Amino acid sequence: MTNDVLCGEFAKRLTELLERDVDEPTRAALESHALACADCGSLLADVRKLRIDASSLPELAPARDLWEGIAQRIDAPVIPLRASDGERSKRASEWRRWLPLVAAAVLLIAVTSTSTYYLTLRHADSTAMRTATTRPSTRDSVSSSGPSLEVAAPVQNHDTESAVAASREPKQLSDASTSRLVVNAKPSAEQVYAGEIARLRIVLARRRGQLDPVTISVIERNLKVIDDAIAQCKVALAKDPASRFLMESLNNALENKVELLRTATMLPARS
Amino acid sequence: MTAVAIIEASTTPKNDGDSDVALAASGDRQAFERLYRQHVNRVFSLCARMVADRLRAEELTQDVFVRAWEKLHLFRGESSFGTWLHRMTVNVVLNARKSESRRQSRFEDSEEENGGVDAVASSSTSGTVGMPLPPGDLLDLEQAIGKLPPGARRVFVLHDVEGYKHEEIAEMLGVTTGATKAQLHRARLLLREALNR
Repeated sequence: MTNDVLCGEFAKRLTELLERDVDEPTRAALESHALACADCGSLLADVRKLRIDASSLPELAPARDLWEGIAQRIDAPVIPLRASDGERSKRASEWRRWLPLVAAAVLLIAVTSTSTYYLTLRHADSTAMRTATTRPSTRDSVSSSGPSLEVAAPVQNHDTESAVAASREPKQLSDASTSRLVVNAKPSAEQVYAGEIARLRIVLARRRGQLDPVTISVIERNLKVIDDAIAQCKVALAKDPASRFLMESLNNALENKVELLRTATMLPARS
Repeated sequence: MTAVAIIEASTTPKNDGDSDVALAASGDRQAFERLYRQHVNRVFSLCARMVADRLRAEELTQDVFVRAWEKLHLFRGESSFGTWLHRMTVNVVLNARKSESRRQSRFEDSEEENGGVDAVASSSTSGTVGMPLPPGDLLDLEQAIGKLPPGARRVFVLHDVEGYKHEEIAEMLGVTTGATKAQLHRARLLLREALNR
């Protein structure tokens, strides 16, 4: 074993030697080498002194009193979790401030949606009724009695125009709603026409004495023309039930008759 | 100012540590302040030598005592309060190092790679910033410790200055005893060379 190898071994096992973590023969060999080798002896002496000096280092003191900062921190019961609570509280406060507006917005949406739904439903019913009126049955009779027209009468003009429009654009209704509503509304349409015509005739009969005979004569002639047109349409529809033109002609004739009767009932008394 | 602080600390009358610990554990702030006065220098010394940064050491010292206040009810008296506090100081410093490890990893790695005898020796003439200066050889040793690579410095301070065993250091640092011994050997050789220049 050369001296270089022993010096390398000495340096390698120096820590174990100082920690007394070597067996006795090894310790004796290393100590012996340190006595014989100036470099290793110096290394061992320096490290031993270093250990002594390190363990003898005086305590250091902070340049300022740290207690004030410590006291503030231990006095304040604020921890990150509390800070989070504060943030949550702040957010909740902001949320509470916006809550009425949010509630109002939700209510507005609900009301609007509901209104739209019911209005759409009524429109569909009304449209279905009009559709039904554009398809009067050949069994339609102006002389048949029906329910009161107190409700239907005030809107008759508008409905009449709508009925014509509806009869010209039947595809605007969905097939499902049309079929459902037509099936249900068809008898009512016949009753509506017949009932209103009957009611208007009763009113006209009561006012007959108040009207000018010439005017009554003109009305009667016009009614006869219309009735002839209705009769012709019904005959033609009996031969060609699918004719849209005949159906619209019959609808127009019925509308004209209702309009003429309504006009006659509202004529001023003769002076 | 440092001298004043040392004098104040050294002249603080010794209290009955056990009674102060009991009082402080029950919420007595004055008793806890007495414990602070009694132990602050030792805590600060350990922090300063471990991190080699005076301002950071002051922050860590405050962290240690705040944590001690919070955990005092857990102190069972199985060891002395000083030993319990000292171990807590090591944990606070090491935990702070872990939390900062990502930011400092590159620096430490480069320092571990490039730092060495030259780094320690070349800085031996300039004192560690803010470090109180002990007389003579100890002054140089204090400065040289502050210039050691962080890994070697931590092991050297814990072993040769604070007297912990390799097994304890390995457990605290989460490394093997072989690693702590290697770091200690490296630190000693670096310090020897720095002090002999």
